[in-house]
Amino acid sequence: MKFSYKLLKKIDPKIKERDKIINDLINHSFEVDEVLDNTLDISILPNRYNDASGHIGIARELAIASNRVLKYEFKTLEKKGKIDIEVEDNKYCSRYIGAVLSLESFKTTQYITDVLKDGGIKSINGIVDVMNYVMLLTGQPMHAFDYDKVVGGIKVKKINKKDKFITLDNIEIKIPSGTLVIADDEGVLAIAGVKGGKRAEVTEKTKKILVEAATFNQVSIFKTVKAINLKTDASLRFSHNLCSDLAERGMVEALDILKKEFKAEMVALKDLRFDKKIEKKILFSIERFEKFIGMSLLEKDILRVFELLDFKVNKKKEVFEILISKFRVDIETEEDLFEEVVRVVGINKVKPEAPIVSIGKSLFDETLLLKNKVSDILTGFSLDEVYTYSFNKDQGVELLNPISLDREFLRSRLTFNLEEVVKNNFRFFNEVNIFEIGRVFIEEKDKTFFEVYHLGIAVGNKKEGSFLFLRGVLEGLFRKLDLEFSFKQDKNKLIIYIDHKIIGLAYEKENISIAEINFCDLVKVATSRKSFKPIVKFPLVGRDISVLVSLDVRVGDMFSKIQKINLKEIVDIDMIDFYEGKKISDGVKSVTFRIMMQSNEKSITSKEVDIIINKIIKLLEQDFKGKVR
Amino acid sequence: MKDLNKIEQEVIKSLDKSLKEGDVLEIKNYYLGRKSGVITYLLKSIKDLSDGDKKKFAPQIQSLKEKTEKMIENKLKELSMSDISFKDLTLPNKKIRHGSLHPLTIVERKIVDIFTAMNFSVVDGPEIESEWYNFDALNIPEFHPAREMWDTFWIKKDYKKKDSKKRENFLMRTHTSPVQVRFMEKHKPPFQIIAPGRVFRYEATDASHEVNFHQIEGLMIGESISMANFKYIVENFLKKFFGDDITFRMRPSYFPFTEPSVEIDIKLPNSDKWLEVMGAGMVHRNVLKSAGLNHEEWQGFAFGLGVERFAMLYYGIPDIRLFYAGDLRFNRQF
Repeated sequence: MKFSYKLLKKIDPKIKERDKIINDLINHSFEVDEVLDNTLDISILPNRYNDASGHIGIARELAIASNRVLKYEFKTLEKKGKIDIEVEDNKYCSRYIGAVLSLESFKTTQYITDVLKDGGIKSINGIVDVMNYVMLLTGQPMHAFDYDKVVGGIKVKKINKKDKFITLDNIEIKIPSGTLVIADDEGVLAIAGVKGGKRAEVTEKTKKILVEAATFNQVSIFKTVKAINLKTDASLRFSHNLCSDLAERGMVEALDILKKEFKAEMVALKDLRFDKKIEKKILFSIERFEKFIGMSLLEKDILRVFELLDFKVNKKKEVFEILISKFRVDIETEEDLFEEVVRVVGINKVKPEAPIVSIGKSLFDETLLLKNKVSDILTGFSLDEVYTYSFNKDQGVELLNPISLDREFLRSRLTFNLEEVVKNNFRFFNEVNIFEIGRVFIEEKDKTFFEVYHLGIAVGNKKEGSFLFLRGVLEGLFRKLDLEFSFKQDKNKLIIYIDHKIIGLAYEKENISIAEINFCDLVKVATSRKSFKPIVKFPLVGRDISVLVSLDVRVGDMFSKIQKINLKEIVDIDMIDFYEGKKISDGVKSVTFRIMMQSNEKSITSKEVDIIINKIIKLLEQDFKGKVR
Repeated sequence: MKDLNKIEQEVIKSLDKSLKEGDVLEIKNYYLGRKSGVITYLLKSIKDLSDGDKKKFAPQIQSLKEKTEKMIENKLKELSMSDISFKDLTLPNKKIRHGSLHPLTIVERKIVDIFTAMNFSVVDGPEIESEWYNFDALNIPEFHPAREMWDTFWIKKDYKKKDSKKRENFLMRTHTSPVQVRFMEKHKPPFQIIAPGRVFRYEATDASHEVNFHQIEGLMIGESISMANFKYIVENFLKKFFGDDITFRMRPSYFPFTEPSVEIDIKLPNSDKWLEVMGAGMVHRNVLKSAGLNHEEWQGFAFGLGVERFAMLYYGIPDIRLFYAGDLRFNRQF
């Protein structure tokens, strides 16, 4: 929000130089985003619009930072005469002050236009400029109608059917039923707290004005802004919960300036107030302050803070009763007062102090732990980790408000995104091996959903097939994690089993091979601990078997059959050669297995080796019609 | 006999001069040769000495022999190592590549490690969150301007979470703070946790904004965990992460779920610019209440930081979108 240094200086002539106030604001109140000439762009915190979104509020913050009390006098309002104003539903408008004034001419002054310019507001005409100036000064949005154009009485009401409306800047907008408006006998004059209308616009010819200072319900304003999709300076302020006392301040200042600058004469003033005046009292204990903040302060220093903030204090035995200024609507609890004290004294004066706690058992989420382990293993296999978006154009759980058409759904698998990543990287690399561990969102029947971690792996090689590399990565990973795993082919997909349960699948798509694994299932089984097995002292014996089989025989099936012989001497089976091609007869391929045998009781004899090998040969011949070479 | 020292000096001198293996072998033969070596001869003559001399000289001669053997052996080793002619060790090596972890993983782990070393537990929470946990439980009521601080992706209204009986509105969590409430509901203080995870914001992407990014949430609750304790933990953390030579400051801020609320800025050495790195504060009594804790019994702090922001500062990465572009020319740099 933009603030004018010129106006701050007018409110408080003792204010420090422009560049010196920036640090005071940052350390005690608000962040300053930018400073340009006479303009300071200050981020007013959302809970402080009521007391600090006007220049008076900022001047007060600055005085407090310099340990001074800001002197600023407000006059009181005087009711006068009669105006026909009615608030139909005071739930949405807790105060409405209307004042009718007559005036001859109203040329805007250079001073006001300068301040408006610093505050980022265009000069329109004398009256409108004063309204905006008062908003900058106090934080209360103001509005002026040409009272001669108002037909009959003023009503603040919710419209009960949709309507059209032409704004001050000549834009026609549709307003839905239920919108809070200011209306006369002819119809809508303004959208309450958001935008004024063309019909009762103040022009150079205006002789009589109705000045409005009102308090509208923040939720109502918030909903209207959403419904008509129109944000204004006024609506922004109203949606931050302004109090009805602020409306009074706005009116007081407006009347004062209009009288002084344009010799305006008050015809009538009506003040409708519906909320109760409450005195907010909160108990403050120095002992609790010290325990909560971890900082010791002298009683007099704390009391000085309350004095600066204009909070009255009553001492009650061990605690203080603090009477909160009516403009500090944000202060509701004792912790709010702790914050006031610590920020005024200086939050950086809190000294670091090691917490005193008993050492408890600390936990590490198992999924996150395994995620670390698996990423280390996979990068060890030279795969690179990538992060992709949680959205895609795939089917899946649907967003109510997608950011774009290609991100309408939540990803239900990782590999869709990973495949894209591999393709994109083929522009720069011949070989791309990547993985991601992240959440996917699964939709089940009846629109139920759940989320689960997946591991996605995609490997691509522009020159040669990559599927066996992928399977090697999977096997290496599962072995390292000490998992019972197996693969089974189903059509063109390889189903991955861990502990005889399906946990994922792998397939090849052109030159990219892809695996998608339910990572949460992996977490359930990957908690086993390896135990030591004695190193076998007796020699390892290897023997190769080459067999010719028909092309439609699967190597995987032969493997599992050999494994099923289940002899304890067989420690490993590998395929060391594979050939299908012209050198051998048509319809036949050659496969060479290497069988590794060992006994942990004695040296295995060549006779024993022969018996095992013959068993395997027999099996290959019988079950696969193989011809052993 | 008397000149054992002199012999030793001779050996040293002649070994120093020799440049080839052959020279050394010649020296070896001269002194230690089985038949006529100088030292061998001395060893052989021990038996002819008187008992007194034997006691005196035998150990000295033995020691000279051992020293000489050792010196010759070392010299031979030295020569063989400097003999570069037989193998070129400077040929280009085989390329062995270790894959790269994503920079966000590296930075997240670095942060998590610092906190686990301070006995923090690491916990996880869902990415699709209910409106209650993401907003209401954190003291952010509906139609409150504070909600506007978080632009939200909503899930279509007819969806229902599996195994949940309640009809609720679901959204992509806008921060990791819901984990605070979820954890407090199930655990009795004292405890200290961090919760890393992905969060979502409905906003246009640019160099510093993304539709999804990562946060780490921290929470420490006990009987008397104070703002001063927070300062101790966060200062330790930031110095371990960015180095001891950073300056750091707190400044007043506002979050609905903390009171007081602060923002943490740091200044890197050789820079005069303050950089905003995290938001924090003392957990608001309404948040403790949402989780079923009594604010008169328990108090503590919470903080949240952006992993992308830390990674960008740490590595000097200028654009947040690089993290999600999947360009391996980027990912492989880390």
